[in-house]
Amino acid sequence: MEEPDSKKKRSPTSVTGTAAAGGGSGLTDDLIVDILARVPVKSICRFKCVSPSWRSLISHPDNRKKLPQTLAGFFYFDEFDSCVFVGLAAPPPPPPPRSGRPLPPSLCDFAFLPANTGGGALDCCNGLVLLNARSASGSEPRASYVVCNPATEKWTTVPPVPEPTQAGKICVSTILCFDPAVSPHFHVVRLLEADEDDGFTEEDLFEGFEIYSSETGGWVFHPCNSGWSPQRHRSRRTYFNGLLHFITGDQRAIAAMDMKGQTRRGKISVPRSREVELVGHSQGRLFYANRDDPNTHKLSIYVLEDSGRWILKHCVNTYGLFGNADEYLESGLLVGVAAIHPHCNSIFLFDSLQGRLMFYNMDSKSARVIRSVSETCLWSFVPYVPLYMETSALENGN
Amino acid sequence: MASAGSGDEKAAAAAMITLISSDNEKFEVTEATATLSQTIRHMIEDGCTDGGVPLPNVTSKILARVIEYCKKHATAAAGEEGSSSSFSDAAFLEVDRAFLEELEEFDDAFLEVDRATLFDLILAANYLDIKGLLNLTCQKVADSVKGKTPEQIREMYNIVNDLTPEEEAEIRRETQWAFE
Repeated sequence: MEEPDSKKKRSPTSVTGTAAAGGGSGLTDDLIVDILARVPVKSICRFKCVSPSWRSLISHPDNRKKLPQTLAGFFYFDEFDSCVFVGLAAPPPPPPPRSGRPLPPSLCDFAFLPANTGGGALDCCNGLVLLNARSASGSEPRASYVVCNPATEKWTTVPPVPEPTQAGKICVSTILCFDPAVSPHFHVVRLLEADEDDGFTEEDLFEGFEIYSSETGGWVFHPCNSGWSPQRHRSRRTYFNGLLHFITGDQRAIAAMDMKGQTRRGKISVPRSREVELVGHSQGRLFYANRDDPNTHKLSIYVLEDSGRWILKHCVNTYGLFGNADEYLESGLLVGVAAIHPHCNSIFLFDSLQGRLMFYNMDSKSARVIRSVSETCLWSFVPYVPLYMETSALENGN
Repeated sequence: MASAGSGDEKAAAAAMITLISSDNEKFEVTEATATLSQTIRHMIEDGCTDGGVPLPNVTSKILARVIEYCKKHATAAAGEEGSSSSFSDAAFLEVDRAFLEELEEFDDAFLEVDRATLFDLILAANYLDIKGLLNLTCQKVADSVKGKTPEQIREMYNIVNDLTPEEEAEIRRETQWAFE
């Protein structure tokens, strides 16, 4: 029955795929990708250095859909809310100084959208970008939006907000909520305030949320009735585990809202300080950063444990960390927390005096400048992680 | 070895399939065991398993391991199906948990093999289209590579590094945080 003679003979590797990246292991490229799809994104970044075939395997468009991606850069908003894309990849070696060379297209151009479709970027969430729709000429325009994916160049329009809910209210912030791990659908959340001139604080003015679901295709107004109001600024919110987390108007807690406008799991009190920096998330946990009082150069980063307690993860003293400290004292402009890296123990700091974005490693306590952007006193950085997977919610636009 | 399981009364009553390894060793298995492989399931459906199924890409050493896996998981699947109707919910959950624990222990022990065998099992699971086994073995390799440096990966996979130092420096610059 058995033929011992042929026992030692190795079988040919496989019938499909090529085996360039597998080296002597015999594994095909498809199988290497299957394995890499189960590896953290940090390892995948490192493995680009294994060999040229691993590098091209990891970057191949067919494989990018299956492999986890990491932070590519930020949508950077200045005090006038105009937006530029700040990429993290090191720029190529500077070309010889020569004028007239055209600039490479920016991710923020949204050149793939048909003419007169997209206006300025408003927000970004897990690879999708929310834009103002360019208003059609003629009658008084109602707010409408475009949601697109710059990585797949797919997009869709969000229908205009129904008129009645807008009476006496203004939209002070528009937020995109999307997480392919939670749902293939996205939501657009508008934060509405009473259209009053003065004499009120932000907290008193809050009227409620207007939420669009790409699943139902409709807008629903949820009046404020949970006893808290959200802060407007982009750094004061984060969409995490299917819930939109806000720092509350009194700066004392974080409240989480689901996409039906309901407050969930109660408010989470935050460590007290003079000034809130931001709320974000990284490696599956909620992060919170604040500025010390009275030492305004000291920034503290906290992480929320499963037990519901905040653990002080790191403190960084920015005094003298980046050049002449006196200049900062004179200008009153401080170095602030721009963002939390989603996949490693690092944060991004922004030096608003000199317009420098910096990478700060909390493990090694080392900092380096990534690049300069226009300096501004009011700013926000919204992280962008490309999403190469197709999203059903965007298919109708293309 | 070649006629494993044939002494069992129940198994004898079920349809048997003969699998033939690349080195011409014959393995007789029940249809329930064999159909964990989608490739073989399709062959059975097409009625082309008479006279045995030749598997020229799988050696007898690897095929024996693959069959061991399929037998265990086919039993577990049958057990789950049977128990759902004959036990109360609580008892069913209890049995279910015991099954899962036993299966997990089996899987852990099953993966205690050298790297070359693990790679061969992946190739066989892929070729035979056995989802569970492919998941299990790929996850095992993924767990073993995730903390590794590029140098260690080259060694594991027997890969020659032909990146130029400039190219390597460029990649490291692009994703510096991953190397810190």
